Amino acid sequence: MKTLPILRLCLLIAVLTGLNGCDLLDYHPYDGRFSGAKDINARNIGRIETATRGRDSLVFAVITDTQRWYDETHDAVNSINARPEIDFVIHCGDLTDFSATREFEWMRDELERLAVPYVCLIGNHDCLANGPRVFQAMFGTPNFSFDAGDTHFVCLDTNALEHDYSVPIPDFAFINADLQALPSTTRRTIAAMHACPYSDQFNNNIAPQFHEKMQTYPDLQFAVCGHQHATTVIEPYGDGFKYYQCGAAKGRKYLIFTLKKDGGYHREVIDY
Amino acid sequence: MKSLITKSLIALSALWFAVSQTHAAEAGTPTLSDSVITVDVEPDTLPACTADIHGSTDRSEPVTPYMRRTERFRRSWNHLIPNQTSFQVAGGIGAFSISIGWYYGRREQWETDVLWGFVPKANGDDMHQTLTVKQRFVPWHLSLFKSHRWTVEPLTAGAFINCIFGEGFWEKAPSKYTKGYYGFNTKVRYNLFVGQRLRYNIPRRHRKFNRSVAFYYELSMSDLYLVSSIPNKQVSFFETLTLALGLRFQVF
Repeated sequence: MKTLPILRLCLLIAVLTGLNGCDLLDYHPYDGRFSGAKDINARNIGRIETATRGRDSLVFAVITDTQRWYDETHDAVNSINARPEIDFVIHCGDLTDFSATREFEWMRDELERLAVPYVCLIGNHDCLANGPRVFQAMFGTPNFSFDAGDTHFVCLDTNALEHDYSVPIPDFAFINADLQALPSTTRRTIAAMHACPYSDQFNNNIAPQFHEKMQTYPDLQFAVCGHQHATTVIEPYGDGFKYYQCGAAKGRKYLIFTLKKDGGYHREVIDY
Repeated sequence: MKSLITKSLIALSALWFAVSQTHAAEAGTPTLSDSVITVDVEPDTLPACTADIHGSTDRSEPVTPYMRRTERFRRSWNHLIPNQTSFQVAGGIGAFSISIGWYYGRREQWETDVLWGFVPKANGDDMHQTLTVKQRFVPWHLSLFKSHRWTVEPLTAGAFINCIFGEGFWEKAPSKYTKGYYGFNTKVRYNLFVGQRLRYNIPRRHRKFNRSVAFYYELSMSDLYLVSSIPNKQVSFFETLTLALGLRFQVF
């Protein structure tokens, strides 16, 4: 009979642990606790690099600013999954609207449905409150790069306004180190970021120097970005170098880039 | 910060007014529950009570207007003595939180709690403290098994406002942003909740610190989750809920 209270206690602990596993026992919308996949970018970069090794042509999709448009993102994921030619997906940031921890989980669970690997950049809406810490735990560092076949992808945090100069954004130290570590197979480079130069988030004081620095990458083809919620082509420096901006999920559009064997590329805007 | 203090002061005065009004209405009315001990002083005990406070035992001392006024003053401030406390797990205001509060109203149907919560470190983020003001409506108190020991409160409903402290949490957006850049704040959360409660009324002879202890649960929804759920079929109503488990103690 004496074991009965112990059994009851064990049952209570089991129930509480079970509840703890799900989102129901929430400490706070900004508690930073989440369950499920972590460090997603590193995992998916491994998948991308393995799948595209030795390739000289690629197809990738760009989605961005999916914050609080879960239904639209759901449809975008279905649309991307219906196109087997796509090798991987780049999300240019703003996964959340308020940086609330559950928003990161909801959006991640939508993106995890993608049949192909994906990487996520950090957007300004992901930088509020403890968002940067949650982003780092769930996806990885805000600056990262990877190689898909003969193409180098450099993904940068450009949300300078959010960090009050306490963090170097864009991070030239990262770019220098990345340039040093380029593999010998690199034939061309693609840049990705959330906010493009001369937008309200960018550190526009060093926008020209940033441009010069980026041109030192081998054959930098173009950059992809989001932030301004419109599907447009921007030439911030007026020299013909293009920033392809993808619109927010609300507009139900995403971009597909085909990098050709001969070095050229093709952009397609998909309505879904 | 200044506006927050002003708001709290206004809220506190409103509460004081509400509490003193309901107590005033109750004066002389026998309450339904046998165990309610009001802090009101009966009019005939006024001189004696005043004398006790002043350390005098002379009961023939005449009641002066000063004594009446100070007694009234004391009596009205007495209503602000918290008469309930609670301990809560989760519920969107911290891993653990403790509170002091007031129950009031003719049928004890209103409750106001002030809670301090603690959000532990997670995923590289610091620990945070939170402060909450919770207003609860408890329309029914039903005795279970026709006994005075157990009381079921089949519905508790209300709202709470939570404020989290720490770097990066602001109520008014910092001046670096243009006006309306972010149409929300990260510091103050507005929530609605419903719940239920099972209360054990401690027999008089066993009372040590409390009159009753109750287990409760509450399901709440935060403003951020509400605006995420409404336009999206993919975010179900269930996913937006937050559960709180707690114990509520009626002190007197």
